[in-house]
Amino acid sequence: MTPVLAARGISVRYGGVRALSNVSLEVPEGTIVGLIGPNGAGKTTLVDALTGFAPCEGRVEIAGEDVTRLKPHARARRGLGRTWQAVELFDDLTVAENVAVAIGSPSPWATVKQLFVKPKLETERIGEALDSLGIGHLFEAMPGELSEGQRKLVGIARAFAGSPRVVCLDEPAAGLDTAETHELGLQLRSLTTGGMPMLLIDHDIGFVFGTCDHVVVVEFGEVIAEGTPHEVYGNERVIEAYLGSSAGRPGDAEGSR
Amino acid sequence: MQSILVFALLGLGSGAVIAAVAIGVVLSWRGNGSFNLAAGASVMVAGYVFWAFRTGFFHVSLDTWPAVIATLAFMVVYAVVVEMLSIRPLRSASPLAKLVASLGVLLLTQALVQLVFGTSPLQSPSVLPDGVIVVGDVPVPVAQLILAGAVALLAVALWAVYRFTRFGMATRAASENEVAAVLAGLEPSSISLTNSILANLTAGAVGIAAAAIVGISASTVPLLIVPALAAALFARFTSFGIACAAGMAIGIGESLIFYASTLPWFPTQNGIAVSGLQQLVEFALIVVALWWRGSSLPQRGDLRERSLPRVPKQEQLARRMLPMVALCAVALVVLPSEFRQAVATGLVGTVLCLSFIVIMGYVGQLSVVQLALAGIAGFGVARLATVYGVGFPLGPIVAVLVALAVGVAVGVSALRVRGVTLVVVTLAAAVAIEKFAFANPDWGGGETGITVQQPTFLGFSLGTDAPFRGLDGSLPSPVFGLCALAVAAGLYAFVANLRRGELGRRMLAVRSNERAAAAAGVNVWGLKLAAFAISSVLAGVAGVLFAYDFGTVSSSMFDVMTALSVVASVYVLGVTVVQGAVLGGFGMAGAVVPLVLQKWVLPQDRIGLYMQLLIGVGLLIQLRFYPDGVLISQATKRERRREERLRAEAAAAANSPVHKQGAAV
Repeated sequence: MTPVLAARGISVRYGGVRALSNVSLEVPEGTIVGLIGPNGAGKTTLVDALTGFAPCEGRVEIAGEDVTRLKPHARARRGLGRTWQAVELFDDLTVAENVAVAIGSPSPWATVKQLFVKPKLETERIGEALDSLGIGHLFEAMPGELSEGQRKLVGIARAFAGSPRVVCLDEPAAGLDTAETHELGLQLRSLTTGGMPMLLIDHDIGFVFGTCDHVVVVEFGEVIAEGTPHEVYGNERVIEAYLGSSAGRPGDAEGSR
Repeated sequence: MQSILVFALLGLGSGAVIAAVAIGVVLSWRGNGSFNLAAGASVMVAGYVFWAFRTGFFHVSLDTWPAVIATLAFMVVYAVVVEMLSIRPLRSASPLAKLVASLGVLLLTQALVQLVFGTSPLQSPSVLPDGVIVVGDVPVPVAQLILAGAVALLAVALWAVYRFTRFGMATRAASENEVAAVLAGLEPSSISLTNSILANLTAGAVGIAAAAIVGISASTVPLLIVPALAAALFARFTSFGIACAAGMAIGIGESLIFYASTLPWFPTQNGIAVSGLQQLVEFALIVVALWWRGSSLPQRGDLRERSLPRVPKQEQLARRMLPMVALCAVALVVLPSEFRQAVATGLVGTVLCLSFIVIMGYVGQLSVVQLALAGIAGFGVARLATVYGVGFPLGPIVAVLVALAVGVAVGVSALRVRGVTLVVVTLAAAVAIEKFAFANPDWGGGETGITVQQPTFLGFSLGTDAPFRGLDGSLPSPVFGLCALAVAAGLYAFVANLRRGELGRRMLAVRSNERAAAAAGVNVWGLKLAAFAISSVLAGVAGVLFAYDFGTVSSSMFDVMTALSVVASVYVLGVTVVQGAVLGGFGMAGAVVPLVLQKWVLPQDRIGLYMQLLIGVGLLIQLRFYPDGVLISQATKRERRREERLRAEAAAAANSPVHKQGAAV
């Protein structure tokens, strides 16, 4: 079966520094794939390469279509959504308007029509996106009024509101407390039950292992292990990458499963 | 070959001045992170002050060297005043606000200089030797070579200071990352002030030395900022050496173009060489520099978070608009003729200012080419009628389409840059259009201007000469004003509605965060071009209306300084709300506010200079107290009060006995 998102031999260079080297991974339908690794391993660089924000060698596919040469907005329109490690909301727009930006691209005629008659927000669809993350009450709020955790959730709602085929989540749990992180994990799982595949990056190993079906571990820009959370949890190379020795396990260091 | 060498050497003088202004731009950027549009004005100030000290204009006549020292001392004071008025209060402001502040300094300084010294160019005694060296059989003034050598030495000295001294290291550290610099114990304010003083001393020294070479003129010297910005762009706003070399090269290039204009193959019109090619080349150079180095222009890690002015929602549009429309309609019929004319001009100005609301307010792109686009449409409608017999309504449509095409072309040339960097491209484009097209006697109107045929439709006159003459029975006819009112009201509603729709949301998304907008599926380049297109059409419509309103078009109506004044006044009032366009329009030359001030407040003569002075002062005061613009600050307060009231009502409802009872049930 064709994976919804596939990276094949992705390499990224920044000047003389090789940030990623021949990384491959697949995100199949209905699956959450976790991407973990120490700081500077190249996790966010991989997401940037997949979404078109970093020039790369190799091939990026969305549902079998080669999108490597497409610009970021064109990849987004083909169904590749993403969130950001540092929350990047549109500060001049309300929460609802932030989400509305990602909802489809209006036809030229609809755009022209909107210039002459008072347009209406797709409130139902926006409300659904916000409610699914428990932030429906923030509909009219401005980004400046939100906590860091709420801003994260709005960013996630925006990524999901565009009805993407697959979403890359870059540290979605950063800034959330333990209960919120647990709740977010459940919400992501429920979305996957509906068939939505995701690529999830996070430092909270417990969150990743508890949420993902498949985990890929990168270090120094290379994949060093992959498999089910259980397989990765016991991998000696992974333990060494995280702790510098085989004295402990990643989940012990940053949160347990 | 010998002639080429001679003209290249002759170009060194003006090249040195351009290089010095470019060095001033680099110093400002390094010192406080602003594009200093007033860098050329500093050269102008030094030239005038030196002239005044030497000629006894200030009732004190000094010899050369005392006058030089007094002028440099004046430049230090000038630098401190500018720093305190426009730079220090805006350290936490957006780059756009900083740029507009430098524009305020430029307008204020230019107006003050012209009010004090007059508008005619002056000739200053030279401080450099008068001798010549002979190249082949052509004498080349030695002063030009000395000036070029001195500027080159200055660039080397500045490089050494910034490379090897602790002050230089501190400036480099602060310009790279202000946060880290503060944490390392550096004081960015002092660094900024020192750099400003250095920039003004540089400009002062060159202004004194170059006064005899490039002349003392308040209308031409400040515009040396255009080629200087091109040179600074090549230097990535960081390298003194490259800024100096590029400035000199531009000066030499201009001189060689002048030489080429004397050759038989050079394009001519009516036996005279086509003008404006130098400015066209400068524009091309800037575009090349931006495509080459635009994406690698340095960014500053500043201490405080900065943002663009907020964009309040446009609510209750019809309720707010209809009384204004009714008031204007009545005024156009009942007021005396000069006020009718002023109201009509204000309405046309509103349309022009709406174009700034779209491109600057909604997309955050600081474009100053809008007035030039209006000029293209204005000259277009006049030429189409007089030369090709194409009148209303086809003429205006074609003229607006031409403005649209040029506007989009400028937009394409600037796609790799955003925000304040865009001002460099659009400023150069505006100057090039003015000098190359408007001043051309065949394409534009030359110095004298051309007459515009008034519009008629199905036998009815819609122009200022229509039979209906208002209550006082004199020209201009209110008919044109009422047509302008209908157009302005429609476009006002259009721009306000743009903010509320999908396209407006996407514009604000791009303005706020281009990366996140692209990730949300927004085609950032396409959207910027759409904004340029809409803005160009608005400017084009304004240009057509200006042409009909005044009955003639000339290059002075659409010159760059007027364009900068309009940008400044729209920013003062509120560049993100449509009401800002109305107030900006009615404050334009020939509109209601200047007329009222001229009749009852300000001296009758030189009203334009007084208005420019007022705009400059108003800009600096407003940026100090209302950095986002007067109307936006008021709208923000209103929104906050409304939100607080809604929260209080929600809280009261939640605590009410009925609500609690309902919850219990």
